[in-house]
Amino acid sequence: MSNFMRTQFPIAIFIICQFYIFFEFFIPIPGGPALTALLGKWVVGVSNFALLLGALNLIRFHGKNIVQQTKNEWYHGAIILASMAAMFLSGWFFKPVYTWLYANIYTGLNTALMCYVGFYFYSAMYKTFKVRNFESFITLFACITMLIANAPISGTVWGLADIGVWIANVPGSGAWRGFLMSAALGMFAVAIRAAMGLERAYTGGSD
Amino acid sequence: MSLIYAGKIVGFIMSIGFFASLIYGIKYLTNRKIRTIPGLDAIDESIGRAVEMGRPVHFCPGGGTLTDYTAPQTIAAIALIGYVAGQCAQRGAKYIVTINVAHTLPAIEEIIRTNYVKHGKVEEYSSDIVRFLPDQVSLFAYDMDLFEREQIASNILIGAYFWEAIVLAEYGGSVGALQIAGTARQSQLPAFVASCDYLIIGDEMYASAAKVSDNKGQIGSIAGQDVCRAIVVAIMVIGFIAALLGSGAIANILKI
Repeated sequence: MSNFMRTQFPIAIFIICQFYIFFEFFIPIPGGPALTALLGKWVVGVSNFALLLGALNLIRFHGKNIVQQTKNEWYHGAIILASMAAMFLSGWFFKPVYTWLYANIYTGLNTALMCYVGFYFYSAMYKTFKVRNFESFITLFACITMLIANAPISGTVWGLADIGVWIANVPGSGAWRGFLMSAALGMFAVAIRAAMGLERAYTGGSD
Repeated sequence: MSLIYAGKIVGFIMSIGFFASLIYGIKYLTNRKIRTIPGLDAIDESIGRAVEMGRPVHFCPGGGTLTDYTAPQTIAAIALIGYVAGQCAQRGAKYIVTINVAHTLPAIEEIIRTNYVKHGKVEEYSSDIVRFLPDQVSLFAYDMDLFEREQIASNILIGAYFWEAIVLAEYGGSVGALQIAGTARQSQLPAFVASCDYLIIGDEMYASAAKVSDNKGQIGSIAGQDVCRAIVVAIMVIGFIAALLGSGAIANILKI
């Protein structure tokens, strides 16, 4: 593929779309919202097409592990490829089987794995809630106050709910808004760098 | 019909002003020095540690895409994936990238290959470096197995993260990896603060991407961004004083 098609052409498309959507947000353009909606649909279409690349990556990587009998990996690959084939074929030819597999195996496994999130939050909290210095004491105090403020007991203990709400609304909101403004400016800068062709990571970064 | 939608006039003027400031920075403030970002410096340290231990470096850009509000974070993450690829190629560390957003795959594969070629290590580049998993649950399930099996030395979690952040960070810590995390998603920052050794917070992530590029224009844009920040802070201070004096003038002007 030529350098033009790999880098300059995607950057040109990016710049045209970026400036069009930016101005369409502020300036009334006849038919503008409809065109923006159409561009959104194209994005969804292209993104879905990219799923094929993902599937090819999975087949290539795990297929290679199976063929080479890679230690501790080949049987994972076999399970993944067999599951992919089962879901694909059942979805295509036997819809009730697909629905059963989805509801009774995929959803169950998914939910079981999601439980890790709760478990790891507790282990992270345990590590964080150790008072090593003044800052960690403030963190601990804010966290415990927020925990109690959100617990049913907060209504019966005078002042606790108010302290929690104040921490969330005043110092908490202030800090988050400052963070958000700073991050938004950073996002704006990335967009401008990309529009000027300085930031090329999204094209693979090749010159 | 008005030229600009009502309620967006000041927003439009400010956007144009920010645009001009950034262009000015990119053109004229290119010799500025970006302050040290500890998380970024720790990336080099963690790669050195991985080389000494003979264990891999793992990078995950999270669940951000190139098609929504997480795109700038994903672009910054891809730039850092390229930087880490270059460092790993140069120093001989094994590199593994796990992703769960299919349309980022071509860009990530390309930037890694480019960096291996740039450092003259094209023979060490393998298509197995990037591993695609179809969703967040399969991503962290695979990564937990990977961390345990490969005993990764470095776990770099930079990008737009969702609820998978806490699992990846906590499990990475449990295998003894040096962990560097970065995101501009405020809901996941506490998880990273609790579990990781170094944190690249919000805007620092975009600045890190510019810093590793070694491109003077990109570095100038950070200086231009500081001009925008100064304007925003000035408006906030004036608005705060006006509100204290009982005037809602600044708030009303911003609504025009």
